[in-house]
Amino acid sequence: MAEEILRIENLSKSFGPTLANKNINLSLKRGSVHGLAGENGSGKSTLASIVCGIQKKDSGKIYKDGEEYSPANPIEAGNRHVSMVVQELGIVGNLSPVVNIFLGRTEQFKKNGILDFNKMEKAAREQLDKWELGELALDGMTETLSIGQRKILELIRALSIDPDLLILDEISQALSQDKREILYKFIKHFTGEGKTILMITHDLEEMLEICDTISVLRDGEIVATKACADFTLEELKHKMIGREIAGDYYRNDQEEQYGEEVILEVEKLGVPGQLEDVSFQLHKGEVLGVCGLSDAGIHTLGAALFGLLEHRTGKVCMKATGKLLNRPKDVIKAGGAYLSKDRDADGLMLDASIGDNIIVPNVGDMTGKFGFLSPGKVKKLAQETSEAYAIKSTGIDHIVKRLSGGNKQKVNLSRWLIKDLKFIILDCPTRGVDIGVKAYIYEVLRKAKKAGLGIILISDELSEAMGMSDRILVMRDHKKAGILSRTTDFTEDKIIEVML
Amino acid sequence: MSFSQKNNNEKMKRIRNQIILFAGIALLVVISNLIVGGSLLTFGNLKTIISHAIFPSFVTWGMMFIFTSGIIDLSIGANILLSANVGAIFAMDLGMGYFGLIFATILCTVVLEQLSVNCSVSLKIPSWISGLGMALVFEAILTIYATIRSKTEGSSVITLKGFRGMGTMPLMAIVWIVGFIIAYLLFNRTTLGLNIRAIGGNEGVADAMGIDKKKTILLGALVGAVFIGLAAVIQESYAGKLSSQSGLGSLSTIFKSLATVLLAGSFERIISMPVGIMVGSVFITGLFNVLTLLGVPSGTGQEICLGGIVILCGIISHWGFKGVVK
Repeated sequence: MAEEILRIENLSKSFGPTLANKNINLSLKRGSVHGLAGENGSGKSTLASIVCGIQKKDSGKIYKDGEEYSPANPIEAGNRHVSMVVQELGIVGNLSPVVNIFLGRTEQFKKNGILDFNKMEKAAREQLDKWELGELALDGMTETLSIGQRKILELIRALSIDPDLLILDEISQALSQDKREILYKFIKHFTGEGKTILMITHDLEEMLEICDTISVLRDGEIVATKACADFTLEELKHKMIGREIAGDYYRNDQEEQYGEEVILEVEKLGVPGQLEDVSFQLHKGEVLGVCGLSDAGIHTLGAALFGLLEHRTGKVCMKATGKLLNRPKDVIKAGGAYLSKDRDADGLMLDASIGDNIIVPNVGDMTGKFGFLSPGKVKKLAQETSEAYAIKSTGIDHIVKRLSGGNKQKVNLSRWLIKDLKFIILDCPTRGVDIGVKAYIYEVLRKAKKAGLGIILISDELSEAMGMSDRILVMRDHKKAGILSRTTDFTEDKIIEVML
Repeated sequence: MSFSQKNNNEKMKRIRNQIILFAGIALLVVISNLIVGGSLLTFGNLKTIISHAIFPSFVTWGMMFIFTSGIIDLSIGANILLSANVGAIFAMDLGMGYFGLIFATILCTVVLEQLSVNCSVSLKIPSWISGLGMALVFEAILTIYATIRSKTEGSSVITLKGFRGMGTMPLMAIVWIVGFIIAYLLFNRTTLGLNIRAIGGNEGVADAMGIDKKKTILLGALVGAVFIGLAAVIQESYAGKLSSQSGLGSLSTIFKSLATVLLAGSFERIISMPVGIMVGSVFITGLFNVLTLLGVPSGTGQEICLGGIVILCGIISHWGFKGVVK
C-alpha cells in the first residue's frame, strides 16, 4: 500500500451561516492523482484552499507526512512543499511573467540588496524545461499573455517551490487541446517522481481518465471515495448531483439542423498578426462550433466578430439588412451578443449586484415616461430573470463576486438571452462550471437554437463542440482551416487532422 | 511564426518605440529651439531647465513609491511646505546648519507621510480622502506657525540664509543623478519595488503570495517620503523660503509632479517609471520654459498646453494597445 502524504480528519469550515466543509475525512497517497468532484459550491475549492493555506479551517486536523499541518498562509504551505494553482486567474498583469513566478519569494535572488533577474529567469526556465511545459515568454508584461499561457505560468509558479503535493483547481478548462496534452504528460511525469496531485475538474471524463482515486463532495460533505476504476461516469454524476441528470447531455442527432436563412455574413475578417481572412455564414437556428489548438486564433475570432479589436479588416454584416457590424454597439443594436472566455475580467461587474448585472444590457428597455430608469421595471426584470435561470443566491441584491462559477455564468448568459437576439457569440460558456450547470446551459442553448437563435460556440473542448454544433469551423495558425459538417465529418480524428 | 520570433518581435517593438519616443522629443526640442530663435538650447537656459526639473523629479520619484501601491496621497504638497519650514527652523533658529536642515526636513516628511498613509491604511478609508484631510491639517499647522511668527519676528516664514548648497549647481545635478540611480534600483530591482507594484497590480494575488500588504505600503511610503524630503530640502535651498498655503493651495506645489506622474505612467510600456519621471520632469519644465520664452501667460495658457501634451502622450503611448489607458 502506498505511503500516505496527507490526511485530513474531521475538518469543518463555515462562512457565516454557510457550512462549506463538514467533517471532511480524506487520505492522499504519495505518487497518486486524487480527484475531487462536486458541483459548484460543493466545497471543493474551499477544501483545497485550506490545504494550501489560503483559508483557515474552523476545526479538525490535517497531517502532512505524519506531522500536524496547519498553514496560516501559502508561504507556510510552500515551506511544507504544498502549492496550488487556483481556479480564477491569479497573476499580476503589470509585472513580468518571471516576477510573477517568484512573487513573494524574490529574496532568494538578491545580491547586495539588488535582484538578479538573469538568475530569476534561469530558475524559471529550469522549471519549464524540467517539466516540459512548452515555451513561454518570461519578459514583457504578463497581461499580454493568453489565458492558457497565464495558467501555465501559474503552474510554473506552483512548481517553483518544489512541491510534493500540488493542487490543481480547474486548470484544464482554461487550456486548449494541445496545452491539455502537455498538462496530462506533466501529471504523469510529476506523479512518476512519487509526488501527489489533488485535482479538481468539472470535466468528469478527464477526471476518470487521469485520477487514481476520486472523492465526491456534495453540500460540503464527502459522499464517496473510491478507486477511479470503480466509478462509472453515470455513477460519478449521480453522486455529485444527488439525482439523475434528466435528458441527454449533448445532442443525439447526427445531422445539421438549421434554417435556410443566413443571419450573419463574415467576409475575410482579419486582425493584423492575430487573424487572417476568415469567412463564413451563420444560419438561423444554427450552432456553429469554433475549434483550434492554442494560439490558433479562436478566441480572437470571437472578440473580432464583436468589434472589440482595433485595426480589424474585412466585413461582418447582417445578411438581411446589409448592416455592417463594426463596433460592439452595432452588434448589440442588430440583435447580437458576446460572452468572453474570461467572464470575471471581461464579462461581469463583480462588485455589483445580480440585479445590476442583469440590467446593464437591457437598460434601454427599462426607462419610464421621462427617460429615467423605472425602479419597478428594473426590479421586475432582474427578479424574473434570476428566477427563470435558477440563479442560486440570496436575492437580486446578492453581490456577483460571491456567487459560484456556475451561477456567475448563469447571470452572464441570462442577461443576454432575455433579449430578442438574432445571434450570440459564446466563448467557452461552460468554463469553470459544474456538470449540473453545464447540462443546464446546454439545455438553454438547445431551446434558443430551436427558437431560431444563431449561436457561434467557441470551445476548447472538442467534445463540447462536437456534441452541440451543426458545423465546426476549425482554425489553424490564425486562419480558417476548414468547416466540417455534423452530417458527414464529426469524428475526433477528422477534426484533429484539420486542426494540425 | 515561431515562439522565439514572436518574443524577438515584442522586444524589437519596445526598442523601436523607445527610439521613436526619444527621437520625437529631440525633434520637438529642435523645432522649439528654432521657434524661440535659438534661446532654448543655450547653456544657461538648459541649466535653468535642469535646476527647475530637479524638485519635481524627486517629488515624483517619491510619489511613485506611494501611488503605485494604490495610495493616492494628496497631502504631499502640504507635507513639503511644512517639512521644509521645520528644516529651516532647525538650520537657522536652532543653529544646526546643514545637518539640521537635511535631517529635520527628511525626518518630518517621513513622520507626516506615515501619518497620512497610516490614516488611510489603518482606518480603511480611501487614500485621496485621508490625503486631502491631512493636507488641510498640515496647511493649518504651518499657517498657525506663520501667523505667530509674523507677530514675533515680523516675517511669516523663515528665510534660509546660508546653508543653500543643495540648491546650487552642480551639487543639485549630482544629487539628482544619484537620486535617479537609487530610485531606479529600488523600484525595479528590489523586492520592495516588486511588491509595491504587485499590490497595485492585483491586491488579491499579492495577498495570496504572502506579501504583507500593510508593511509593504508603509515601507513604500517611507522610501517615498525620503525622496520627497530631499525634494523639500532642495526647494528650500533653491528658493530660500517656502510660504504657507491654505484651502488646499499646497496642491499647486506638486502640480508639475502630478503631471509628470501622468506622463511617466503613459509611457510605462515603453520606458520604466523612474526613467520616465526623469525625462518627463525635464520635458514639462522645458515646455514651461519654451512657453515663457514665447510669452504665453503662466497660470492659464501654459497649463492648457501642458494638459493637452499629457493627453496626447497618453494617446500615443497606448496606440494599438488593447485595453484602457490607466
